[in-house]
Amino acid sequence: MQSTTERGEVPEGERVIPGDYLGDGSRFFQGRGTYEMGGRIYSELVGEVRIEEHEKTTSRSDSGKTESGSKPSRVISVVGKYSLSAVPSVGSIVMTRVLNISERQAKVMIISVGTTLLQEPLSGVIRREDVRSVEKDTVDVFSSFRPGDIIRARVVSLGESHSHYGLATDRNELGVIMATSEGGHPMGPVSWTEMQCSKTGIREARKVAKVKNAVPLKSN
Amino acid sequence: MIKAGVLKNANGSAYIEFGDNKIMCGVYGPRDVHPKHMANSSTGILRCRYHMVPYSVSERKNPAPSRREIEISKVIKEALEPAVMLERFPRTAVDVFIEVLQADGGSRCAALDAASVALADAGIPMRDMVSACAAGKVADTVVLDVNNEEDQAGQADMPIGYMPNLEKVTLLQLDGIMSPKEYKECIETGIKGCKIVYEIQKKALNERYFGDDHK
Repeated sequence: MQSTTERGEVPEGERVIPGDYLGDGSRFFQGRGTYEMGGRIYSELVGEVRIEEHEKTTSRSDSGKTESGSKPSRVISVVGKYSLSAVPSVGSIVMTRVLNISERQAKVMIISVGTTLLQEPLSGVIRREDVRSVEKDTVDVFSSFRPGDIIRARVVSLGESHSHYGLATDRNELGVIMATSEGGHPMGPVSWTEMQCSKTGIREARKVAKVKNAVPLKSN
Repeated sequence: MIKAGVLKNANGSAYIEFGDNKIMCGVYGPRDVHPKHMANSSTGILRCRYHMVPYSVSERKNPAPSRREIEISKVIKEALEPAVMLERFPRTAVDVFIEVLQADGGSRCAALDAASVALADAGIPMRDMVSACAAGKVADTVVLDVNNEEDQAGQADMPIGYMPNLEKVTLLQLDGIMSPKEYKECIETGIKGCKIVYEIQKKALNERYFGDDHK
């Protein structure tokens, strides 16, 4: 049997599976890995229970707050043994690999959301107008991206059911992070619009992302 | 006996031996939906395929999906939907694949038990586990978990799928004839059986994740 307190709550570190009762909604805020129904908090994952002190906030938090009566002061959450694939939301920063390009857009495969690697890649599209924030209509996709490039982008739309995630690289820190030259060698950034092959020194046009602490290749 | 996390390639998996039933289940997802028109923009979808391998029964079963397999696929999907939090993953699908390696009565219940464990193993958020067991009527007595021989000769078979913490029934079928009183008794017996199965599901997940028989 699960160890519980007199109220039937579970202690920190307790191992739970989906559906296990964790505690009452009046005594805890529901954290990640839990859901609330009928004022009671249940686990939704296989994992361990964590209980933390909740920072006092005056505004409404999305984990729910009781207005009167006993105020919950602790957050109860379940840390899954195995973190589930993240699903991108509008504004998420994602890492993608370019699959193909056309005059109007680049089709990409989303590999990770934030720091979470996706178990199954999702598909996304970067339209011509979303490549950069200035001179949007004069963008040449072929000079911005090439198939195989790794691009950091942000999610602008979840799309309707028939289309892919809409992405944009219209900021300094978005754009090509890694690319290989036509000769097959890795390239490093030299400017906002060019990357240079590490072996031959030949430059190719790309929409380059400004990565913090990156050292641009010295031109010969 | 249930073992979780047995397939290398699936996101979540479970293998169950329930009587002489031997069933393997693999879960994939949440993942992109192909064909795209089937994607739902407000919620994820659950897809389920229950399939029996040709050598699962004494007379070779044709590998093509039979009407029974199509029915069971639908029934298992509908029994899992109330438990899985599909609204968290719009435009994606969670795929459940069930292969029956050996069948001996009550395989849909065993399949549902394995599917629940596989979904939890995949880290997919669920409101509760779904535990299933069949009750039945054989020789005018209400019994639990009939096997194939008893089912052929018996008077009724009632598979039940149950969410043990929320105390809700998600699957209920009856094949046979019984009186209202027997019906009530059958459901109560079935639910007791589901609770027993729940403990076995819990054990499988604990062994997989915490490396010991904690509970």
